[in-house]
Amino acid sequence: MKYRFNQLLVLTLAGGIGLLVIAFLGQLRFPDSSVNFLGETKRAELGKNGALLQPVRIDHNGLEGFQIFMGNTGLSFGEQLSFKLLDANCQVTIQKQSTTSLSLPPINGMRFTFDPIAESRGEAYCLSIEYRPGLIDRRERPYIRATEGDMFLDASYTDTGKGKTHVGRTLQIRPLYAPDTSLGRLQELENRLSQYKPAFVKGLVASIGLIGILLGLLFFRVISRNDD
Amino acid sequence: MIPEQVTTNLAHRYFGLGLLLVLFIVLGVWQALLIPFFQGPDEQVHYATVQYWAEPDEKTWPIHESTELNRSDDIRSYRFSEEIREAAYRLQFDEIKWQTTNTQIFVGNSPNGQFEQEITDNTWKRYIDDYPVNASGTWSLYYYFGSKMESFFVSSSILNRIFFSRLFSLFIGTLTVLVAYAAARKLGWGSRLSALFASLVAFQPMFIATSAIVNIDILLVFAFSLFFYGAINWLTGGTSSKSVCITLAAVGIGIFTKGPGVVLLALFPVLVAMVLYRHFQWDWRKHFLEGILALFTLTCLVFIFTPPHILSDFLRLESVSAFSGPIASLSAYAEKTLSISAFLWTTTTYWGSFGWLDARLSEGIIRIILAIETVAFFGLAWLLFDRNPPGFLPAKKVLLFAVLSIIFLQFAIRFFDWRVFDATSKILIGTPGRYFLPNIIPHLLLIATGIGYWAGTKTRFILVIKTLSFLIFLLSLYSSWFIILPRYYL
Repeated sequence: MKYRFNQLLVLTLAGGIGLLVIAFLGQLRFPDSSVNFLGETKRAELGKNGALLQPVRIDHNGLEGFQIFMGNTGLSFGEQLSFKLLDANCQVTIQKQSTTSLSLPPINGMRFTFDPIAESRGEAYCLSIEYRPGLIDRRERPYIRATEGDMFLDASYTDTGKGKTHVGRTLQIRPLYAPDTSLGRLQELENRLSQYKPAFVKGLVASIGLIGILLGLLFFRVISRNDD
Repeated sequence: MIPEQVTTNLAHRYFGLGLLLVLFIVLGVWQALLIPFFQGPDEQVHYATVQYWAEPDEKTWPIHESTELNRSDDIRSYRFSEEIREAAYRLQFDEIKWQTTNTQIFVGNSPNGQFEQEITDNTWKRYIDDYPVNASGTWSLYYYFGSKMESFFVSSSILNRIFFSRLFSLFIGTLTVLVAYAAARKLGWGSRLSALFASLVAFQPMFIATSAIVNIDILLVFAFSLFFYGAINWLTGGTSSKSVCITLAAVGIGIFTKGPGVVLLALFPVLVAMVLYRHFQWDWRKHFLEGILALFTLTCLVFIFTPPHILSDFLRLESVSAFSGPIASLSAYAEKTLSISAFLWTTTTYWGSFGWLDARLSEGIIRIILAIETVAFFGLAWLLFDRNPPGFLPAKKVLLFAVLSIIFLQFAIRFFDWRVFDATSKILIGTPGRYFLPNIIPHLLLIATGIGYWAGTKTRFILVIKTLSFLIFLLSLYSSWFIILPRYYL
């Protein structure tokens, strides 16, 4: 029984780590880091009716989605968020996706992802975020974080439910990009991890993390072989 | 036994421990590189203090007396060295600290940051010329040894020196894992079971994170761990000179590390009393009055022989209360701190609240941990009333001491927090879980024992510890790859 348990433990660990790796790589896209949300943080509340619409202009080719920072995160049972990428006039849907409480938990903010748009540099789009309430009414309405500050004087978003446009404010959203190949994505991750790190570890940071995973597997393999 | 067999047995026995230590170091180095520099709690102050201590005694540069107050949102207003101020500014310290949605500005297709060359050029002043300095006023062994390292790597860039300072913390963390192993061995557990127990400590996400940043807390964790190891020695093996030396050394390290180290000084007489009680087989019912008298005498002696200014500082006797009386003050404090949400916050920050406490484990994970702890709590309670507890579990006196150690530290931290609250009517210090990490070994020992009690047999107990170790390892991977990494890089 003990032997079977040990085998099961190591196999479960390997399986668990495999699932984590797949989930991580599946979500590996890089938010545009050129702008930070400096200013006063606001709440763009998600109402039962209507959507939040924000015009966005894209700086790079290969747009693959948006990172969206939601406040009091975690959708409860029945709740749904629908994301749409619309044309510049906020009329024609180009991409759409929805997320519910049953969706895989995202890493750092909500992620609205789609197939890369090769020629996205300089293009104007409109991002729509719509909320559908669940079975139980929340005490506090869910909201998207927004920022008001000098850097965002040209930005605005519209709450179609209330028919109100907030000028000089932006929703806290970042466009997502990624290199075409898996290897390119890992290389980009390594580049980000290496910046502002000692020169002798540049290019090795992610590898050190991976070695930690492999050593962990070895540790459990060794420790499971014999008991006291 | 022939020498080759002895060597093989030793290698066999310590292979698990060796592998665990290597694994812990790799996980620590990984996190030391993952958390951006200066983004550990108060890391900029701790590193500035290390650098300040590394300055020559005789200041050969002009000193300016400054009356300007530093602003908490502007690192360049702090009276640190020019190098720390400018490097932290270029590392976007203020933009990232506490701002969960902000990150560094990354340069595409390059392993070098936008301002990296400027930071590594080593052209800024490395000494403080604006006084009074904003370095920590605490005298700590951590700063003493850290400053020696800072001086040794003087020709390196600041990025290298911060990384080496973090590795110094990691070294202390590794010693703590070793102490956890040694403590488990003293409880009579075999080498593999002890390595498994030590792995619970080594994989605790917040412990790894604390070992991977520049902060004096890790030395306090080590001091408490060493003290607990010494206590187990005393309580299980007798009063050897080795046990006495270990506990006294731990008390010394604790006191000369950080304020809460004084808790060890209070725990020491408790330990001595427990050892004497066991040695003389006293019936506590007969000696209850003597015990109370001894405690009273000891307290009086402490008050008589401690210099008044130390007592006054320690108990904050000089501060003026913002409340009408102690009862009103304590009631208001209890109302603010004794709630489910405050308890959840302390638990979350004990298990995983990384960086500037702005990258946290989810509440769902914390609830699973609490469920496991609840099962352990009931097992422990049952065990204490069991006349024939399983022999493979630690003796009740060890468990009792672990509980006392936790109660003493809890009381001390909440007492200081209340004293500040009493004067300001604000929770300024708070009770973040990392303040309770010094009791990580007693805490995890109690959890392991509580769950182990339900296991019933040693074989099942080992399987339980193995499962816990496995879960906590997955939690540490999840913390670094799914919480810390995305927070700062994705």
